Amino acid sequence: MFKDLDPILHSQLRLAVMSLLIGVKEAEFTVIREKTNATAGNLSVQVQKLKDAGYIDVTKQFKDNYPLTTCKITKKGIEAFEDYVKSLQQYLQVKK
Amino acid sequence: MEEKNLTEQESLQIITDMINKAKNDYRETGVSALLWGIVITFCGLVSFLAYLFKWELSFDIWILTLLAIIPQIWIFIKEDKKRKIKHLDSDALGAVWIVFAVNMFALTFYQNIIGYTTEHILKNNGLEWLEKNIATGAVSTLHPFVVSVSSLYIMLYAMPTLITGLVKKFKPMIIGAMITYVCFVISCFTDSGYDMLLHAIAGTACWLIPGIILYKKYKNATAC
Repeated sequence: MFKDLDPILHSQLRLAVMSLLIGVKEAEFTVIREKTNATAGNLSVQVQKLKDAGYIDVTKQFKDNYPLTTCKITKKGIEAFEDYVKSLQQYLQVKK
Repeated sequence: MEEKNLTEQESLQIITDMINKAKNDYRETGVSALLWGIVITFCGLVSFLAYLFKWELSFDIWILTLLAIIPQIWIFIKEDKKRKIKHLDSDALGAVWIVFAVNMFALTFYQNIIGYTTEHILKNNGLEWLEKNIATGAVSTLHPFVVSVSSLYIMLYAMPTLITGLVKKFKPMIIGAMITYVCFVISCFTDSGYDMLLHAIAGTACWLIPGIILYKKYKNATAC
């Protein structure tokens, strides 16, 4: 069990969302759901947690009369993700 | 995706998988490349054939490149609306192609205006360019013009294509740009009629072939 890892990121779905967003400028909610194979309800809850932590920005608008939610990683989110990966690397090195 | 306690290996696997999924999502339709590949190849070939068979074209065939901007804007808006993931390099590559288009128009402007300007400046100084027929010895006025300007167009075609090819690691565009640079070098030794054929080759290598490959890949990916 990791003790020093960021609890916000150390969750399967939240980590997947952040890993997806770290490599792109922004992504629509439907694509994140498709890529993570998550249910819309569960993903909404986890996206809200990441938003509350200030790790992602969520923009809601309408496109062709349909609601469109777009997620984008923030600077704080990038730093948190990089720290998480560093901690992970350190942990793996200790284990070797 | 269910919630459970993660091991370090699982965390690493999730990160790797998701980064790869985002990376592999990049799907260029190839429609823009196809459009410009067809237009440049067509204009180059028609100009070359007109030179070869001494056709009198009633209008400048290269006007088609201006008309092609209209469908290009429509394609850009349509594809941008359809894009569900915006990649980090898409803005930078878009900027490269916009700057390329601006430079193409700047070069066209330069080509059309510089002769008159030079002639005007020469006249103000009481000078003019002359050309002498070596065989007859006849001397006549020569209106200033930009020498081998079509070579510069060919050189410009290669620039954004090579950048896109290198950034996207898309070999057909890298090879296309290399072929275009070869066309540029050859065009420095040929007259403007054969430069038109080199334009057609450059248009095919830079955009038509990569466009066909991209379009096929896109169709296969979206059919799955």
